[in-house]
Amino acid sequence: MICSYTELKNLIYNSGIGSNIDVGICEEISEAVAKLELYGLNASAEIYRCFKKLSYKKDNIKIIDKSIQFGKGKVIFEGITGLDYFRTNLYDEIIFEELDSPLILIGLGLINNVENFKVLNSTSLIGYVDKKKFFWNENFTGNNVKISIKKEKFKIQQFNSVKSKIKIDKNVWKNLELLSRKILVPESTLSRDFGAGANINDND
Amino acid sequence: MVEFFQKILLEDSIMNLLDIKKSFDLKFRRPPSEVMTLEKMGSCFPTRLSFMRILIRKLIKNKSYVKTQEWQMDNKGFGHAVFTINIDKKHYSLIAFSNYLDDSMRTDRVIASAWDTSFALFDGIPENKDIERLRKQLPLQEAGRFSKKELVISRANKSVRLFKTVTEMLSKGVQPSKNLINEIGYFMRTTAVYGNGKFGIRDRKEVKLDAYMSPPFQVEMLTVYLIRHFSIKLVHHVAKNLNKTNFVFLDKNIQRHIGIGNSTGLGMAPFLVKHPILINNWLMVKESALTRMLDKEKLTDFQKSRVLELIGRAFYHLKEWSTDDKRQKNRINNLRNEWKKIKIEISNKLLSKSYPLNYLFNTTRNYSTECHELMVSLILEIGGKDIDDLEHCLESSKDVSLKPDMKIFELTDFINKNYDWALKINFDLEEANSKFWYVSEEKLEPRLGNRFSENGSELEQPLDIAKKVQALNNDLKDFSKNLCIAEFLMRYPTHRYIVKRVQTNMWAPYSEIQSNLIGNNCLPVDMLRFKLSFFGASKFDPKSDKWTRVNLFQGAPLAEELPLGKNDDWWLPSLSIN
Repeated sequence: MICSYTELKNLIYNSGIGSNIDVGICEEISEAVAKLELYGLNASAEIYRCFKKLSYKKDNIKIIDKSIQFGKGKVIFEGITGLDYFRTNLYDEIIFEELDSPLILIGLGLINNVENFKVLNSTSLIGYVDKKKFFWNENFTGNNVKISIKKEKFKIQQFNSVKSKIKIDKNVWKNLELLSRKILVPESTLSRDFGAGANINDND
Repeated sequence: MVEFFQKILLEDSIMNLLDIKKSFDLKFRRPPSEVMTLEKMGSCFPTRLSFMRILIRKLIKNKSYVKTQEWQMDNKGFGHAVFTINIDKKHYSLIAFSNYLDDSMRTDRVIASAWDTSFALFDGIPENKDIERLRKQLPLQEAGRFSKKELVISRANKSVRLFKTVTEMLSKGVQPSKNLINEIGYFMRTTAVYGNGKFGIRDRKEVKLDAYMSPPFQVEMLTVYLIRHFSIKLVHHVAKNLNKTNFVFLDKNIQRHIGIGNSTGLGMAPFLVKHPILINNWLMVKESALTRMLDKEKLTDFQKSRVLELIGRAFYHLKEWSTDDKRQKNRINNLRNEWKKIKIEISNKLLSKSYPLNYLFNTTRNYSTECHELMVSLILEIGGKDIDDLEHCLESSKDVSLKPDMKIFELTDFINKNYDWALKINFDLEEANSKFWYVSEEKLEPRLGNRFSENGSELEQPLDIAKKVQALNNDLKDFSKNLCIAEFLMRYPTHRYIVKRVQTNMWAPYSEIQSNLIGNNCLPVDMLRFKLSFFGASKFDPKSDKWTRVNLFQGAPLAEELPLGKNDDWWLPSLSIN
């Protein structure tokens, strides 16, 4: 189905809250996913998979000199933290033993206008963000692989470009909608009669 | 405080849109602690920088012309119509559908499923296939699907009594009394005006690429303005068909006094919390404009006579403002008495002294909050071109974002200095926690519940800012002061939302409502009035602490007056002095 940017962003935001993710994280994830979809990248399906497999391990981290290493991580938790560290310039390299969605990590970099944000798998480039422009290697398909982030200038031949409309798979939309409905309070007479404004009948 | 404001980093968009780097005065007279309380917000009046006023000035400047493209209505006023308006070289069309509605179905609540009328603001001039598509989708409103060609969708219910009475009177050649018009003030009442990508319509991000639509809510206000035009035309149409021989048009002065009613519920309150930078910008503009005006050492003769004229007009407007709400009724009575004193005291001689507006500002500080705010609004009204350029700064293009390299001590110092209003609330008390904001599964209606007597508080919306700040402050105490926010959030990821808000407040001082929004004393209607005053609404008529009715565009020039270049002098209009 074709949807608007704001509509998709709100859906992701609410489905994140419905998946018990903190509102501050949902704000960023929803913006990142909507932005990636604007470029025709299938981030909605990816975030749905991420929402379905959530676990946060505290202290899933090692610091060796100027490198910070996360274990098996989730973009919603360790990914966001890794990006925060990248933005502090405290470390030269940020490594994930595994990350469930490098694509959404790129989206998070994009919405934060990071510079020279290079995401690698072994030696191949997965993605690159430089302020408001980004490149995503569409040949990369392997989620849950070792990746590293470095701050390095990189010459990209062609950055990704915006599409004219956002098209989302109907089933993905439906699944996200189901998650988003978990934030809704079930109906009751008390709620209906006293919870909101205006009358039930407004003939005047 | 002044030093703090001088350090404020203004949003890039504000700086870019207007060459104000040197002239934007940051020495505001009123700190956030004064203007961002619910009591103050609930006392605001419309100003010349309100969104409706900005729109009408734009339409007048462009000599915009409203053309009836289609009018296919039966004798009872059921059918469809299309009106097109030009702004510069662009065209926008209102597509309107009017149908029979059984009285039992007429409710202003979000949970309604049918309305007297439904509308879309369309980019350009619609073709038949667009009209046919919208004929199916528009009456469904939230359940419909729309395209990027639509900028706004809306619906309205008739004020059955005024609509019926006026059509009958006009059909008999009789004009309605001013009292009757003042009592209601509109033929139709919008119950929702949806913009910004809702249900597939165009996103705000795209809408604002058109410079004319860049200030907030311009397409929404244009829709409402055209609905007002439609409602008057519909009354004439029905009246004429009742009796073609005796029919007369509604008197022009009365037509101008017809606005569009609006029922506003709780949805507006979360909007204010969810858009902290936008709200900050609105306040920065208002306070900057006020500062510019208060700095005026002398007024011209024209400005002096304007002050006196507007004091008189406001006096009559207050006389015509009525409500059944006990709290507001008392406030209006008090305000009328205070304004009467002001009307007697303020003279041309007094306005000839140095810094006369500063005098008016300081004098009314001794009166009620509402009286002081009314004077602020009046002071801005005479600003004209001195302040109108600030309208470009109302918009926000920036999202709340995290500064992960900030040191912990910077955040704690700021919280202790600027969030004292939040830290002093005792959340151990039931009264400080009694309310929770939520979204009902019934048509996603925003609602407010009692935490101790209703189910659903585990699904609370994040409007409990003060409580979140306290929780953040407690966890910060145990954290090393020289570490950075990224390190703190790795340990405490659930504070991310509130950390971002606090960091935003460092450069956007008016971004927080400085009241406990989940406390027993929270009156949502104060938040509604605040937002509606920025829209330009008047005649606030609270129906409970959760919803209010208002009048939009009352006194605004009629559509046929726009190309004549008539001025936009319609602040707090009164039918008594026309």
